[in-house]
Amino acid sequence: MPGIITTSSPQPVAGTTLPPLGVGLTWQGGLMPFIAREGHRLDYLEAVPDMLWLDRGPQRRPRYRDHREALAAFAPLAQRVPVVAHSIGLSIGSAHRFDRAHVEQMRAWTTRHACPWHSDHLSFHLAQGQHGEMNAGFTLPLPWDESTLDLLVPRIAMVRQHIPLPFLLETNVYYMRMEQNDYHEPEFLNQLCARSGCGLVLDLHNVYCNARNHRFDPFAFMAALDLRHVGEIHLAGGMELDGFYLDAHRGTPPKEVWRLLDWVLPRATNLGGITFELFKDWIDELPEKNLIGVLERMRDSWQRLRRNAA
Amino acid sequence: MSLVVFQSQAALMATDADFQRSVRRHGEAALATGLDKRERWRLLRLANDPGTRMTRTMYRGFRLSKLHATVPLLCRVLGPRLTSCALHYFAACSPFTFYFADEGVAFCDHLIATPPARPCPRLLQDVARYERAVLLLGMRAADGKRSAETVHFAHDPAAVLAWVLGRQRAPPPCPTTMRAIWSDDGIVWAAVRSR
Repeated sequence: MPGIITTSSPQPVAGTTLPPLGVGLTWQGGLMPFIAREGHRLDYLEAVPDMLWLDRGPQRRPRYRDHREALAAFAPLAQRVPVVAHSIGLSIGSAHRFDRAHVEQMRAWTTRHACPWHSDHLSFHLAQGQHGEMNAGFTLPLPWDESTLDLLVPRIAMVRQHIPLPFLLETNVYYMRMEQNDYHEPEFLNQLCARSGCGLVLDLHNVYCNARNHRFDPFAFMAALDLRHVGEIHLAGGMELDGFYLDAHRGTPPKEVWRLLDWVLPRATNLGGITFELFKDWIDELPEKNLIGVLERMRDSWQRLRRNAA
Repeated sequence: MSLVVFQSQAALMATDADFQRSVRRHGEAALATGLDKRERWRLLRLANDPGTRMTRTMYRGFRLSKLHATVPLLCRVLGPRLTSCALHYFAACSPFTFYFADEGVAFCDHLIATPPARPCPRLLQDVARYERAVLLLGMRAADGKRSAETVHFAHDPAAVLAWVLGRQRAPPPCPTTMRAIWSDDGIVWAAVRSR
């Protein structure tokens, strides 16, 4: 990134008045034994609802069905712990279509589980292909342009109108770069939130990955971002592959991510929670004491924030 | 609507190495029409961006993980040939689904239609037919439906499974039709007739 232009939004933060929940963990079936034993360490669970239903495709009626096996494991927990919905299916940045049925499904799901807020990803994975729609299965980056804002703002308005909850979009990790943008990323995010009323899931591991892979200063990025829009923070670990550092959700967060958290927390005045993400393939290799250590560190940070806020 | 075209081309670049190579070699001539100047420039940059290759690695890894999870017998039989076979499949079949079972069925369909030359294409086709039926029945069961699937094998499927598990040498052809039924105890296979 060639440089950061600092901006601050004069707009009120409309979409990010969140209840302060605390410390959360992404739900995975493989984490059930841990959650059963150590659930007292968690204030909420973050679920990817798309893993708990089956989307049978736009042509099918009904299009969505519960994934009964996964839901049977998840539902009892959801009755005891607040659930935050973090969807991966909306593809809000896809130019060729907007999936209103997905929004409707999210409305039903967030109502059913009494979610205090919900979120998705600031990216696209659906695109028009030569023989129908492509689903890249991976969050592809959007240009930080006026045309992207023109696409997103009315869609976010529609989501917020249909689902009467704060709606957050996650800052994306990207390996391929869109260049010649109208904005630098933090400016773009500020504009998006100010114009649309959405908030942000600030994924600090994504920021760290991007900064490391594309050689920019993550603290300068943070300084340029209006942190009042941040409703939730994601933490994760990663791994190196072929000269890149990947957002693999593997292991514990690197120390630089903890430093970013310490810097951001006092400035993120509308924060609802800090979530640790761990991909299912890496659950077994992370010693339980290390996972507990991550949650305790998050708890310390959260309590310090609350004390300062009081 | 040039953003629609741009996203199609960017997604293609991320998933299709041949397309990326073609853009690198032929420049704008390899791109679709309907793009504005800045979009063409971005795509040319993406064609030379090492991050595009890494994105494709992630994309392929996700699809490959779906195959490992859904068609374990085919993965076992293919062994070290799985990767090249999967890449051939990815090139022939654009990514179309988030879901694991759909990907597994599509891979089976691909192998049934165009089996690799080794090992034993006819036996591989039978393994694909078997796993395809299991996946379809499972998908319908998840949908709340008990169903049946009739499968025409080129060999005795019990002998094929023994071959997969390394307990028996490749069996001779023996056309066999089986009917698989989803039940409370799992999938029950019954012979319909021998051809």
